[in-house]
Amino acid sequence: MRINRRDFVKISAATATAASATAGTLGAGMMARPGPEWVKSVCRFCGTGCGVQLAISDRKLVALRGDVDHPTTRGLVCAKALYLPKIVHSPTRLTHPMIRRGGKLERASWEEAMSLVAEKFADAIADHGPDSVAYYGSGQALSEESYFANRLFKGGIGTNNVEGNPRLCMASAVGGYVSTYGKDEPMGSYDDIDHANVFFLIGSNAAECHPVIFDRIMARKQESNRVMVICVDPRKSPVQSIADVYLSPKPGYDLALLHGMASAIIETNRHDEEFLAEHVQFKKVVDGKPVSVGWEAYREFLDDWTPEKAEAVCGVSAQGIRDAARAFAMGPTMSFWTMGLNQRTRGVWANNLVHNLHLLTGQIGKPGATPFSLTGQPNACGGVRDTGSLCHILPYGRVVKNPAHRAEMEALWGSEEGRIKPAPGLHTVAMFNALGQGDIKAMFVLTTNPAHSMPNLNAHRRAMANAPFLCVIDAFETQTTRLADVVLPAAMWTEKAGVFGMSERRYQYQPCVVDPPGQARPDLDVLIDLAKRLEARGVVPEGFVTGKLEDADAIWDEMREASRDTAYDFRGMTRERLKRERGVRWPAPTVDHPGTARRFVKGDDPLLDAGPYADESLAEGQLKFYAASDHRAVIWLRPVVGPAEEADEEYPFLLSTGRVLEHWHTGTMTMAARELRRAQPKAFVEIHPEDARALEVSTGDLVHLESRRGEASIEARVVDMPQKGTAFVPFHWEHAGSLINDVTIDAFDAGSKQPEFKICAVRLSKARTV
Amino acid sequence: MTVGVHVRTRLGCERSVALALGEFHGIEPIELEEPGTLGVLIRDETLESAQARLREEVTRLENVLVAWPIHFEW
Ligand code: SF4
Repeated sequence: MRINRRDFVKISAATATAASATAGTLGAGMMARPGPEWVKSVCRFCGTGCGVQLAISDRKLVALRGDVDHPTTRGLVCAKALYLPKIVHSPTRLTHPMIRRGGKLERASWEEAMSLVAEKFADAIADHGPDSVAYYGSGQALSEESYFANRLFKGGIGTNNVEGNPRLCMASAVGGYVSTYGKDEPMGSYDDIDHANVFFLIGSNAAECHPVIFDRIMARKQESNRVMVICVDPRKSPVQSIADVYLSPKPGYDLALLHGMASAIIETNRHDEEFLAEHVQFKKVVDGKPVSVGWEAYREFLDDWTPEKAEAVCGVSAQGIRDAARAFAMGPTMSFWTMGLNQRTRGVWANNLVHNLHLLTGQIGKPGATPFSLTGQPNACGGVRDTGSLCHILPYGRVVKNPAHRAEMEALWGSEEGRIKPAPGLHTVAMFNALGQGDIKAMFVLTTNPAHSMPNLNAHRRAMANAPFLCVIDAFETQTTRLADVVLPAAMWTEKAGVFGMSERRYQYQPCVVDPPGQARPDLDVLIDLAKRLEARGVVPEGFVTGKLEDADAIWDEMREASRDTAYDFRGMTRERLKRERGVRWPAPTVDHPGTARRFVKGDDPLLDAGPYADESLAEGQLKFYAASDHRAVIWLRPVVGPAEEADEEYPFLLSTGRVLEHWHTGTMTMAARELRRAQPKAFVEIHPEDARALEVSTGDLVHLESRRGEASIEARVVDMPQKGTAFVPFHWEHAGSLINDVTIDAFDAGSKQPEFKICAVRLSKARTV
Repeated sequence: MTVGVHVRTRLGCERSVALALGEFHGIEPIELEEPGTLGVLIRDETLESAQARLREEVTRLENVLVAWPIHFEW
């Protein structure tokens, strides 16, 4: 009997609950067996945003399964999600506030802890001004939490020192979207996977980092032998195993490869002249300013980047570049990328050049044809990017530099005129530098672990250790909580209700179904508490929060209102609707609008029908980049510039960092599940076999990695995955000597301010056999 | 302890993979309608050992492209 995926999940559940499961007799009878009541929710980990169902008993999670009714992830989840219940109920959770006294963290009451936090913030602001305090948040916080923190700091306290860990992973993707199309976020959606014939994966190990998306790509590849996968990555990640074309550029020089592909496309007349004439403009930067140029200038520019010339720079054969270009132009082509492009000093440019290929070939705005940046965190998109919770932006596409945008937010927030500063605040690296220099007197870190995840960690950890005042709220003990003056225990995931916004603009509601351990509280409660205390001390205007925004529902309603007349308009996503549905993709301006699979396309995007972007002259299916200047997307003429650090005699290897399937970020959550911890128990450094021979290193040997900034000693894995002359280390582990971010560099992209985690120069030597 | 697993195989290899999986003690393949996929139930003492079997026995089998656990009960 063949069954569908839905029935298989039911059978799995029935088998697990049946006492006689080991007898192994399966069938319709089992499917009918009554089971626990299931509640829909969303995975807490990556930006894929898998739908899950949870079984709850006595306010405890007892089972988890993929949600087969979820429209995009269709019942699949990966190993990390399965362990979430175990992580939530881990005995290692933080359960009570702590205050550092005499150098030691000691148990304290919430009242003691919160009054100390309020006092330190109020004193710093009174003595040194609002820019002496800072907020460092997370793409893991709920949307309401990030929005509220942003509102409190920018509109209440009056500082733009609002940052978050998406600066470390997504900022270059934002820079790419904004500089190309005028507004952030992908125009396509996961639906496009089912229509694409070519998948262009560049700088993405989707197989391990976004496994459910990767599965959907594979499913599409299985459907038709016309479907091709092109993988561009210096390291042979598991994505390469399904690639029809694999290109391995020299680290940092994929810019040349992308120009080479553009050149090959034009050389063979595969560009879309009509699309270019109607929808595209060309720009380059002269003396620090963008200048418009024409098609001819672009063609001439690409004369320097023929596939042969590109080969000489990036090391990929001209034939490989031509093969990739031919396939890309054939389409429909969907590009995916993530940290490999973003975590670079030329991250925005690399993003621009992927968009260039889509615009050049017209592979955009049609089913299966779209550039799509994957997101590492569950709510970097909806929570931080969209709510404007970074130092230079305001909610829903607004920027602090724009007086009209500031005025709109001041009016909505009830801030007095001029409260929001016109200059951007400190971006992440600058913020931690300022902390180290003593310019930041009080910092609030929420649900993230910068003392593990920042690059050039020695310097930034020193800054946190010596900070005048550091308050950290988290669900677990981390490297960062160990340095804090006040530690607050946070409720996590299903212990609180709110919205996550994943990679495809889908906002999904997560219900509160279990109780937090001990005295742990939702981050939002704590932020509201802090805001009220600052109100009482006169630091924040009276009534800014009290009596106005006292819970997540009220905040969500204000957020919806903030999206009015913006390119994000999601006023139709009422709380009730999100509780019912399995997420909705913005724009969705009215409650009866189903959400938008394809932005900028008449018939799909409701903003082309009504509101400030409406255009009645367009026919169904026609495209309009309504957020871009002159409604034309930009092909950028970007120079090819290498990474901040090249290999040299002293530091002859290039180091790249990344992730493995079983762990997530700094391991704060996944290390709390014994099974995941044991599945990947320690850090490792991948070394190419030829390099290993020269270094006399074998798998299992301890290898010493040293850069200009720091060192680490990590066990070797000799594998034919990294390029010769490069090494790869996942960054999840924190045991002694294995913090690879002690070695990485904090040079950052001039536009996005995102650091170059992917490339730095190191030397390797054999330490001792483990 | 039972873990439900969704397995993606090379097209046309569903049956041979199912037969190979059926040889393992405590692993039960179930044919699914979607081509190139199989459902698999892994029964073992603990979640950890079931996950290890998924990694060591299921995903390493010839013609298995990838396998994801999709259901787990505590
Ligand atoms: S792919 Fe991402 S969102 Fe989906 S289950 Fe795995 S970690 Fe969670």
